[in-house]
Amino acid sequence: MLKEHSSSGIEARDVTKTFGSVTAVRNLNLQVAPGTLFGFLGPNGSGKSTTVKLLTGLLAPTKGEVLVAGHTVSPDNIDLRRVIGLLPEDAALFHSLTIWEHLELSGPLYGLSRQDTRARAIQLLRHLDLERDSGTYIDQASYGMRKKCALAMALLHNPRILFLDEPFEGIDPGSSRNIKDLLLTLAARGVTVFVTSHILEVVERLIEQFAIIIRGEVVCCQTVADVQRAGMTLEDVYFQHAGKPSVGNLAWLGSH
Amino acid sequence: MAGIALILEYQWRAFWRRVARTRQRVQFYLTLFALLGWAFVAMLPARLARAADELSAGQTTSMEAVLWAFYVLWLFAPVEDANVSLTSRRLRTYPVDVGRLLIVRTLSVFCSPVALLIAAGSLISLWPFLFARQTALGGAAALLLFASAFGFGMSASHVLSVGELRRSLLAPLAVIGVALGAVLFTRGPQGIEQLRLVAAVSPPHLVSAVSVAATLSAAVIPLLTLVAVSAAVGGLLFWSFRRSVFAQSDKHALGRAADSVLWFPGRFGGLVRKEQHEFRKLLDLWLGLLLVLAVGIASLFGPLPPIVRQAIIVIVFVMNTHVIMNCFGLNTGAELTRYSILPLRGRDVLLIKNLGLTVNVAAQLALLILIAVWRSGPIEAVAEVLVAAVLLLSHLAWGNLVSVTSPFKMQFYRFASSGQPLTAMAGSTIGSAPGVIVLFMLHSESSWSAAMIAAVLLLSLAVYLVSLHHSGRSFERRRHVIGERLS
Repeated sequence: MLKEHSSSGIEARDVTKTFGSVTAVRNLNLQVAPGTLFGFLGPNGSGKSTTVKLLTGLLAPTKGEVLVAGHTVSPDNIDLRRVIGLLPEDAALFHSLTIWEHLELSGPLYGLSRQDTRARAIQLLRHLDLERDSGTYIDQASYGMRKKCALAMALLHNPRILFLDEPFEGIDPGSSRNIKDLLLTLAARGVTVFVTSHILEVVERLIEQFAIIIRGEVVCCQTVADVQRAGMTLEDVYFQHAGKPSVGNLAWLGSH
Repeated sequence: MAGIALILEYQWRAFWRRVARTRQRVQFYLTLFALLGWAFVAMLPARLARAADELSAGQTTSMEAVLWAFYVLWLFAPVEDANVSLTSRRLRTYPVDVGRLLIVRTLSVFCSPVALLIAAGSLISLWPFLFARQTALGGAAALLLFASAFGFGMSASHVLSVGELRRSLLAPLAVIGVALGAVLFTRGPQGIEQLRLVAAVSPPHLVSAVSVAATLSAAVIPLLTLVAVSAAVGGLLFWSFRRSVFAQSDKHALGRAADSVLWFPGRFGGLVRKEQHEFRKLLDLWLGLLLVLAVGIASLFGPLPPIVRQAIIVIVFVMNTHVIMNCFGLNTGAELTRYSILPLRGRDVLLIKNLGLTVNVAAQLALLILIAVWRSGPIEAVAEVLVAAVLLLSHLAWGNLVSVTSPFKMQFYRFASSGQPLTAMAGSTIGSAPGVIVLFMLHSESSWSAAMIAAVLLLSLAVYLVSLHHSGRSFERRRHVIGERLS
């Protein structure tokens, strides 16, 4: 049994998740200190999003335990949901609502007054360059707008820990820059940020520590400073573990 | 044509794969197959034999009834297109013109076993025409009838999928239809006679008129009328399909103005507004509203007995059964994830859904209650509110349980479906029983009536609270299963 404490860190011990005969995550052990910007990297289908779901209580592990912000993670732990912010893989938005309405309904659910919700929502939308599109229905919004809306929802209640699943995917350069600045500021203020991403150049300049997951198993966990001291880049380390396919077999492409 | 065949091949494959993957869908088709099959095997042969006898004697009553039944079935057959995977909008990205897209859309409906069963039954129902005077013309006219019903049903589903057409075409037509119906109803026998006159020019009547025509020339006028109707339906079909495929979605739809004034208090307020907004996109609720509207118009011509209004309340709840019993049916897996991200317990989510439904039901019944105050006084109105409250609690209690155990994917601007016809029948019976008891007690002379009504109300409330708690826990455990079933 993990001991509960009032930190803002993440701790996972021997976490395994199986779906029938498929093991999506195997013996995951992680320790993320409070205020860390942590990158969780890996190819498609390696288990990144499943890990995020396990760490946030959206999925119950088959084996093992997780402690987040002093709370034992389980799907019915409401107190945990109040202190974390989550940007899920699919944004998890309601198709019949506008971007503004998503924020408007979120705030009071986290105990914010309507006035505070509105004030914060306006600031977040402005920061994420969504102000002009706040009246757009989610099912008519672009992919990037949906991501930004879900990010604003994750931030609205001022969480102690942020879980961001592919936050830079589909985001324009300007907003991407704003989000990076915001995450750095949050980490400096003690908020733990757990981010998954495929865009290695972006996360390399953002994160302090990272883990690489391949086929459900964490194969590497180190700091960016260590990588740089070894004269390597994050991309070098990533391909060391993930491998790199050759384009030689696709010679027919472009041969008109 | 090769392209169409290829798309249909994959359509067929995707449809049946989807059926095979969802146990519920298999159950749904088996139940529907059993019900329709039973009707075809047990009832149709005798009906057709009688129709054949009558047609040979120049009479059309039984044949017309059979034609009406299949006419209605064909009107609703296109509903099955909601289950196809390769939708016209998605196929638009391929180099396929609108005409071919329409062919794909039309033939895709026949991936469904329900549509195939209706087609088989329709072909069998042509048999009595062998005994009619105009065998070939009668059969051809019947095929034209089925095709035009199918085309009309498809056109209606296209119109329903375009917001602008829903508001500017369908809504006024529905209100005019209901108003005319209510006026005819209040006229009594005279109104029924006028309805008979309308039925005399109905397409099924025209088909039977063609089949029993004494001479070829006598068959020409009804046949030409049918051809004209079918041509008009064909035009409507092509126009509505084109509109639905190329409809541009408005980023700031007109509906927002009405929505922005709706506000619900409390921390759940925002979600309640969302739920009521989504539920009111199901046709069942609008059908109930139209029924209440019809009663309202009929009340203008004279007072209706309170029992009629109270019975209408029960009927409205029965019409709402599918919506209440499948409150997650409009959600996607991603939306269920959002419920889990938000600090909400399962019972909170269900309570929010229930409040959203309650707002819509209140809007449905408001006119009826106002009429009760106007025509029968506030005491009668309170009695009707009591009936509605008991019905609401009992329907929600049962509906919450079914919603978490048997979720079924529903589509916006369609009729709701709770998947299992037998479960729906059981649900509407169980949900309506306490309301019917209250109704009975309201009209009984017993001195215990008030106490009995209070007891039923309290019992319904207690059952609802237990159901809310139990279903809430169940939702927390089964969220992923529900998400998968709705995918």
